[in-house]
Amino acid sequence: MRTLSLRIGALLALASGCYAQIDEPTLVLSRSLPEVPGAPVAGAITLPAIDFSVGDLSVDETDAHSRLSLTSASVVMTSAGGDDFGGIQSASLRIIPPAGSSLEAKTLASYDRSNDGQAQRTLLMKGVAGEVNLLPYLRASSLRLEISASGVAPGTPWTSDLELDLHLLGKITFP
Amino acid sequence: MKLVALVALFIGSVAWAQERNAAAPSPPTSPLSDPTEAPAPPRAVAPNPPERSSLHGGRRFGLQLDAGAPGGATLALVARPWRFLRVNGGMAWNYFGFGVKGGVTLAPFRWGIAPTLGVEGGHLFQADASRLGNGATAKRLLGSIGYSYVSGDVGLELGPQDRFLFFVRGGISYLSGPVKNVAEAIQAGSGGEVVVKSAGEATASYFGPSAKVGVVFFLY
Repeated sequence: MRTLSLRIGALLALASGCYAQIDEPTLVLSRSLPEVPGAPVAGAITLPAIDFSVGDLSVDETDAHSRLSLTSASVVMTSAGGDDFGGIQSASLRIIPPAGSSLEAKTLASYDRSNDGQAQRTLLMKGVAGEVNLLPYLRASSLRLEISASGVAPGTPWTSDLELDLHLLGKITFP
Repeated sequence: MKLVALVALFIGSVAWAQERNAAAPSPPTSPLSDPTEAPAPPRAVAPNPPERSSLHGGRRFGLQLDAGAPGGATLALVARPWRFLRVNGGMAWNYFGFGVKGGVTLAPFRWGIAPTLGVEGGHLFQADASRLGNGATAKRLLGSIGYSYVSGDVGLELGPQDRFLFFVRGGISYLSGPVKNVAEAIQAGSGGEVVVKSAGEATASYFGPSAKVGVVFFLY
């Protein structure tokens, strides 16, 4: 009887780990950013907050096992001309929580010229250690993001695309 | 489908009944038979070899029909090299597409209702399951679905086992398969503001309960 109980217990333990999931580790989304006026003076640079729609990801955003995390983010200059991001000393991408939320604003990715080398027309910000789950930050399928930088911005007005390299894990567990 | 199941059960019942009749002991000798007939000397009876260590002498080959998840409906050939061991291989259909499957079942007991232990694996080829989805994203994601699976199960079998049996099995399964069209799917649901520049081939997987019911006919 004891052996039977142990076996049933083992089966229940096995069954308690049941799940269904979809894993997409390399999802790259892009959207264009508003034009930024030239500012050829060294100092702090903060771009207007961006609402980045990630569309319908078809995952249960409230399930604790589902995750959307940022691997890296890039600002890719799209305007013609000779300007680039060579004067940027550091940059970071932050996630802003929805209004009324108890979540905190967090840095998702960063760039440091002394470590990452001088940027050209693409400013690559690497995801920070300790991945932040972005799903709780979603409101109406959008993430509110903020880019700030230090150094010398391009001297003439410029346009760019913001690319997010995301890892999506949609998972439901049962029972 | 119901008709097929009813026919299968009927054929099985007939086969079972025939087997029972054939195996029934002959009636005792009439007391009116010749009393002078001398009783036959006892014949030496060779002991039956142990079943589990010798090849099965009865019907060894047959057909298996079953339905369940995640394998779908399957039709397989069954071979029984030993009485306690059955192997099967055949084709599967999950309503959206076809696949292949194979399995091994251990049936160590010859009882009216006997427990079994089995493993099974299979692969369902890519097929369009978009009719299951609601919304543009889900429909695109389900547009090309295929998977491989492996299951372990325990079950119960009913029937004489020599020619026909009905089984119910339950267990645990792991399945995994690629999900294509991820970029198109998310693009379809994004409203055009965001461009999906690239997406790899996502992987869908499942670890959870499995179940099936079926019948086996041993023909040869």
